[in-house]
Amino acid sequence: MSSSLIVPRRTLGRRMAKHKTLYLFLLPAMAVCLVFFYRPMFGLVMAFQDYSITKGLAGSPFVGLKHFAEFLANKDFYASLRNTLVINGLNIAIGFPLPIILALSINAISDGPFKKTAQTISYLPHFISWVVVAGLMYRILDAQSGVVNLGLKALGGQPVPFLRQPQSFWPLITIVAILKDLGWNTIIFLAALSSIDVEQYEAAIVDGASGWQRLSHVTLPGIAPVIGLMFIFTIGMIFSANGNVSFDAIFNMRNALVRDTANTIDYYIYQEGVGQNRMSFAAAVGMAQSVVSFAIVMGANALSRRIRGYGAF
Amino acid sequence: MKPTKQRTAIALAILLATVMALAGIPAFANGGTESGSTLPAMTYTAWPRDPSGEKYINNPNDVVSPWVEKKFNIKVSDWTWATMAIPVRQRFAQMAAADAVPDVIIDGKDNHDFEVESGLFADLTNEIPKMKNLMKYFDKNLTPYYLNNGKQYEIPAIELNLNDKKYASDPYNLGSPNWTMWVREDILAKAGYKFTSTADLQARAAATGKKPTEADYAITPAIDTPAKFADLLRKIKALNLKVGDKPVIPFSVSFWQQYHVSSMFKSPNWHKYADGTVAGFLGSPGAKDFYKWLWTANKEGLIDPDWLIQKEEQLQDKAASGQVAVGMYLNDINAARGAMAKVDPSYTVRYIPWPKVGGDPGYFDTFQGGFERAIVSKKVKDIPRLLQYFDWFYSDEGLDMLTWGPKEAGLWKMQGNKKVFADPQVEKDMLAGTKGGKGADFYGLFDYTGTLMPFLSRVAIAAPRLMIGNPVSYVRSYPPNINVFTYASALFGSKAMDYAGKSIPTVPGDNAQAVLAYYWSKFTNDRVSIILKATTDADFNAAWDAEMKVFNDEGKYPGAVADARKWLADNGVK
Repeated sequence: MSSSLIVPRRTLGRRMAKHKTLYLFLLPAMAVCLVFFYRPMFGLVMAFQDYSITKGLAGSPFVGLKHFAEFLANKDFYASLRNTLVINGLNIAIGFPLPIILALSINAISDGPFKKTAQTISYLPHFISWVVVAGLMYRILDAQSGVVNLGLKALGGQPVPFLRQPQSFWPLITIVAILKDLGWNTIIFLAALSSIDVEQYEAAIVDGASGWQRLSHVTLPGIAPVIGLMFIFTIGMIFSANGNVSFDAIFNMRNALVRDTANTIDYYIYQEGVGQNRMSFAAAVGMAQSVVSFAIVMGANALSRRIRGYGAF
Repeated sequence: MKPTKQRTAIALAILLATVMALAGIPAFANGGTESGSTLPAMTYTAWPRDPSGEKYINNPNDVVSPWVEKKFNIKVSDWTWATMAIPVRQRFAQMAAADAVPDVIIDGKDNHDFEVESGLFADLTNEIPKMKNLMKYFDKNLTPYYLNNGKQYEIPAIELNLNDKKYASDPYNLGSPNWTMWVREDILAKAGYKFTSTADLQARAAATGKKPTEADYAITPAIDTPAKFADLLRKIKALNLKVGDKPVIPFSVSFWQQYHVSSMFKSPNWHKYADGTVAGFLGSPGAKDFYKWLWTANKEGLIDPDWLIQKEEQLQDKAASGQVAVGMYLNDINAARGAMAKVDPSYTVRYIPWPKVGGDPGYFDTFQGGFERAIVSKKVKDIPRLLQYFDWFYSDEGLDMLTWGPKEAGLWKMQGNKKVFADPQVEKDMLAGTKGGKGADFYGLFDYTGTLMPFLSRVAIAAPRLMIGNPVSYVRSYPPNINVFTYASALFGSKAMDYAGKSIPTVPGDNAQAVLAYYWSKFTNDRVSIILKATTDADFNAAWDAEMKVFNDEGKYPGAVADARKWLADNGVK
């Protein structure tokens, strides 16, 4: 349906003048972005130098792609890359749909104190620091005195040294990370669910749609754009530690005995670059990680536009 | 808003702003106390090496610090505390990048070498000799251990060599306490070893007034080689002992202690061997043998499976519960002993001599006249004043104040020509080294049992001070008490300590720094697990060879050997 009314497009200046209050609201956020995200990007030049704290960016010698070649030839890097992809992949595969399912469940509950309480309780683990969570997990999973192993012994089994065996780390970090942020991650989906027009549900009921049909024909299509948007952002984090399994999570949960499966790219950057004071090396790996993540986000966005007709940007 | 309310709001806002501004002025923030010094107030930021000092800096019962701060009008304005979780270099690099390096850092030479190379610290070569009180205690022969490129940046926290024969006749001298391994005596007996118990030795010493000899501490059969030490651990494991429902762990340490335990097989320090070889760390001739021993112990379950990942507090808790049969360093061995005795009075502990392979002694550490030393930032405005303040800690008045506290605190009285503690409870806790009572930790005084932190006032924690050999120790006011347990650590530890200057834990140079960074930040707390998880001898050898390749490449070991050879040659090691 086309309109015969042609709305002249205002210039940017005029739009800003018309909505100056809204643009003023944007200013603090833009300032934060500029200062904390864009300005530090000048430091990326460190990735091409042999940076020294005392010489600074201006005085440190330029070495070109030396650090990139070094990490690409280092087998520990590939081990950490594998661990990153597996851990983040598990989190995306399992941890992405679960908050949606939980949000749908919460949404199905009638409004009232139980719903509010359930929501609040589900959010709380998000606010517990990973230091505390890791400490708790070490206690709970201790081979001798942890409740899990005490339970196994009571059932006639043998204690399992969960925290000392590499094969336990992937499932362990996935389960703990998902549970910690499961409730918090429902927020955006709950917000999307609340924006679905109730008249659509009423019309569906009038048309005789069952609960599953309302879910598949009204609810899920209603929140599909948000799911798509969140998926684009989430998939872009597959190479980094910005999702459920943050650097904090790995740093606190890992130990030397599970290094084979626990050392991720972010930990590799920390250990190789920061722990040994090789800032340039750390910057090189970090830069490569960011470039790849950016490419993935852009690709996912383009794919979404092509398939669904809309994207994050 | 009504005009009256508006005026009230403005007045309150001005008042709040004034209070906040005044709170930023140190004199007001600290109560504006009058000073005994006519010099202007001086503050400095401090980073002491030992994080266990943190619990003493806000001690309301500290009688020493307010007196000292008032006398000199100098205070610490902010503290930084290290943790084992973050390497010092990393922390330092972050602070340097943020231009937030503390004014005074107290640490060992290995970290100071790195920090001094940043160029942020003052060359004190001409200032330190002016510290007359410090120079009374400092052995100038040990100066090379405090130099960087021929200059002295480091103010020593001096440890006197109490094992020197000039102190032998001092009835109060129990030698310089050192690290050596300890074992639960009841378990040693159950494992079939014969010895005179610590309790019997103590009774004998009390009766005769004589210190035990090495022969008195002898254990039969001797545990004098790494193989025999492993046998001890196997016997303990075979006993299948429990504390409650938890198995007794034959041997437990924390990850960094592998450096010292490896001295059973040659020295982990840079050392020049009789054949002219200079080696250290993983390149030491005994390193592979040690890690083979460690791998075997790990495989057989002789060592705590969590040794690589446990925190110091966890090790302390395990030991205090009696769960550890043999250990090395604990945060507080005396607290652990006390706790064990409460679990079961038969849980007594004794030190044992370092097991050694034959040949070179394998020093577990090097005597440098002091492990800790202080460096001072170039940003400190009045460095001479600060150094004179630090020098006071070595003066007779300073040592007396740090040991006994000021007269007005009422903790001591004169008895004849000696000071004694006025309160019997204080006296009891001070002489026993008891913590948590009315002892040194309560009042911020000298703790004669504290080898790594003898003075417990915040002013002392933030200054280089006499670490071992306090000439005004309060024990001298009482009849000599030969503590046979503590004496054993000096007796046995000194045998494994290099006093002859043939080794050094760190030398200057980029390559040597790379070795240190690799060893401490990557190998000991992470990559050592690659070797430990080998399943067969062949796997172990392959893992070791691979690790040595990485050590040579990333750790720049060959270049570091050249740095060490040069340092040893420059400092007279033939």
